[in-house]
Amino acid sequence: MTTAEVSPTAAVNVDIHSENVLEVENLKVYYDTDAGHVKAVDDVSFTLKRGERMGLVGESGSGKTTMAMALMRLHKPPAIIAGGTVRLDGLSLLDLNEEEMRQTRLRDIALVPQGAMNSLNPVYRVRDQIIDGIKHHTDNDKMPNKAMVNERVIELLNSVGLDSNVADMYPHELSGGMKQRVALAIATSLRPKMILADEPTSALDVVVQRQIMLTLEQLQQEMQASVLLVGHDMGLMAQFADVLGVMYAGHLVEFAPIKEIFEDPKHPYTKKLISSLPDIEVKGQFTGIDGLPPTLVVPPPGCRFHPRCPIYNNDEDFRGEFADLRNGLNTDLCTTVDPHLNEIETRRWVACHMYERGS
Amino acid sequence: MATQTADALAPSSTNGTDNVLELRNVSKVFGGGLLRRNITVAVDDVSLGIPRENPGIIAVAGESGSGKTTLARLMLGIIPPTEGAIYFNGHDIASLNRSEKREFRREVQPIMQDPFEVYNPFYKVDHVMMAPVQNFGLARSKSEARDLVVESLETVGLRHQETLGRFPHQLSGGQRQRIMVARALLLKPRIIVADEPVSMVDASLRATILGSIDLLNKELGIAVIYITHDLTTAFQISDNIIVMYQGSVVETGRVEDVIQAPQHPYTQLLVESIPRPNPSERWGRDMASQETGGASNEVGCRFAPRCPYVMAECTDEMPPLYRVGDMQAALCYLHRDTATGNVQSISDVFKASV
Repeated sequence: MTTAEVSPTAAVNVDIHSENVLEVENLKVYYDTDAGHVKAVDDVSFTLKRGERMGLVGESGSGKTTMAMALMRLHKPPAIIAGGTVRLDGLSLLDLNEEEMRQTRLRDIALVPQGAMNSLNPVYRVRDQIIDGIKHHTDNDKMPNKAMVNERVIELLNSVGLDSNVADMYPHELSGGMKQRVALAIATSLRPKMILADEPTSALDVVVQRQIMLTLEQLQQEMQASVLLVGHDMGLMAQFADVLGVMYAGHLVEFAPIKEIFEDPKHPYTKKLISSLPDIEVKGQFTGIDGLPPTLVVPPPGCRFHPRCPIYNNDEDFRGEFADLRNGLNTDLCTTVDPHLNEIETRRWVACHMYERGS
Repeated sequence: MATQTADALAPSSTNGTDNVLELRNVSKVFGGGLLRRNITVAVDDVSLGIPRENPGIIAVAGESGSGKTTLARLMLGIIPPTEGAIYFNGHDIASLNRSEKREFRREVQPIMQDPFEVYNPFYKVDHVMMAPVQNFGLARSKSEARDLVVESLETVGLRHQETLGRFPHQLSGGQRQRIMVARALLLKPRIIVADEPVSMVDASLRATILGSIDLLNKELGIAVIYITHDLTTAFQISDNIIVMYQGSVVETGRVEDVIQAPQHPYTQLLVESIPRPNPSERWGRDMASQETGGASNEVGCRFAPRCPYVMAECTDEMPPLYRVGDMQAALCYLHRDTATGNVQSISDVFKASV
């Protein structure tokens, strides 16, 4: 599902002048603090195709959530967008005024928040919360009549696997999974081009998590919407995403199709991340990544990963596999020059000096 | 339950060794009272022994509401059972005398889920670590106390230079959680009950923290009860597992058997739903539209309303825990004809730790 080929039923209102739905270029989000700029998101670029599902992983503090929120301009002070562009289907989001941006949210780019428990209004019935979103993004004269709106509410609830009677319930009457389904119904109510989901299942059990993710996938395919799933669970990414971005200390360090990144990770951090994943096949292959993520106030010079990098530090485990690449690596670069994100094969982006020779 | 504390009442051993802690037919019911409404059976008839020798690591797995945290709180003596009794070194913990109670509090230590909540932000790490040393009189002098603290910090892989003298907010989540492990370790406990110790930390740190818990078991022979919703880490570090669903132990035994060949339909559903870190092995696509809400049964198997194999008897009466293998038992009528008997105490099917 990585192409823009759309099924005839879903493609009616899609403007196909560009295969890319989301284009992020050199995005910088800084936290303006007394100690100076904390570069939470530093020079991040990537593109997302129509109907494509992208995963974005990173440790806490890597900047993944900050970046995702900045895409919708929902970042909170002291965070500021310090540079770059974000284009959604050609529309430059960072150039919109507040009102235009408000209109664009939900209609074109919708958020499925982390823990829907707290995002629903406890004193409104589910029906009113869904209608609320539709109303605020539809011109008064174009607002369909009450019967049609109610019909749409039921249709939306059914599309996320909920009974029609949920419309008249209050959030406290719903289980965690049901609330997250309501959040999905709201996010898809205006058939957005893109859905941004920030750890949508982090508070849920595995069985419910699987159901919610499959429901999201169904909706997304039916609408041909793109999805950006932010999280830290590589297992969930493997199950859901078409492409994966890996963030480390404010940088996007790798971006590639999901199968390729799991089979052949290029960046040493991704490599470590994937080899440290525990499974239920073999016992005892459970290792962490040594060291701690760096502070972003004073990030390490050069490549931000070098203090923990198995290649730079010449770890035994990595000598065989990366021997050739490491032989040609000038490790002085690792401590002095921040590597750029380069496309080393089609749709395989990596920010590491090992791959920079010859360019 | 009679209230004598005589050693004559001490429970018999289950598998040849004597038990530090033993639960006998323990149930915990919440609610009820005068109104007799909204009764929740949080833990239903659990018998389990934790041996003194080679106790191993026992995982208690289940979703929220399964009763796993209630079971942990019962073992820690934080709440009393509604039925049944818990024995510490053969004595009912409900009727321990002062010094026995003190011993129990020292020997059975908790490690809690969220280290952010445990710490008082105004106290330095030193205070967090010194308090138990003072309260239990573990050291004769200040320098001896400090040596103890430094030693236990080092056991969990922390340098005292980087931790002592600092406030909690100056430490990372992983460091804070390891300090909790070090603190529990100070008291040289026999049992550690760790309730979701890694659910708040990053994957890359998870292995390190679980590694330090594993070390306590392997090197120091401390029994570990690892409460979790994550079957993958349960598989990786534990010897035996208890799977709970709405208060019932639905399956238990050697962790490899239970996870790799689950015999209860609920365990099967759980294992199937683990997001495997392999893009070529994706979930079955058949269950997107189901909603699980379903009210649970008042009588009979709790899982019956969701069970794909439900039979008439399932809703009439709770099945017994059938022995389905040398080291595996399941609470399910599907195994009635093939089982080799019923299991009374969960630990009867546990693999002895090496």
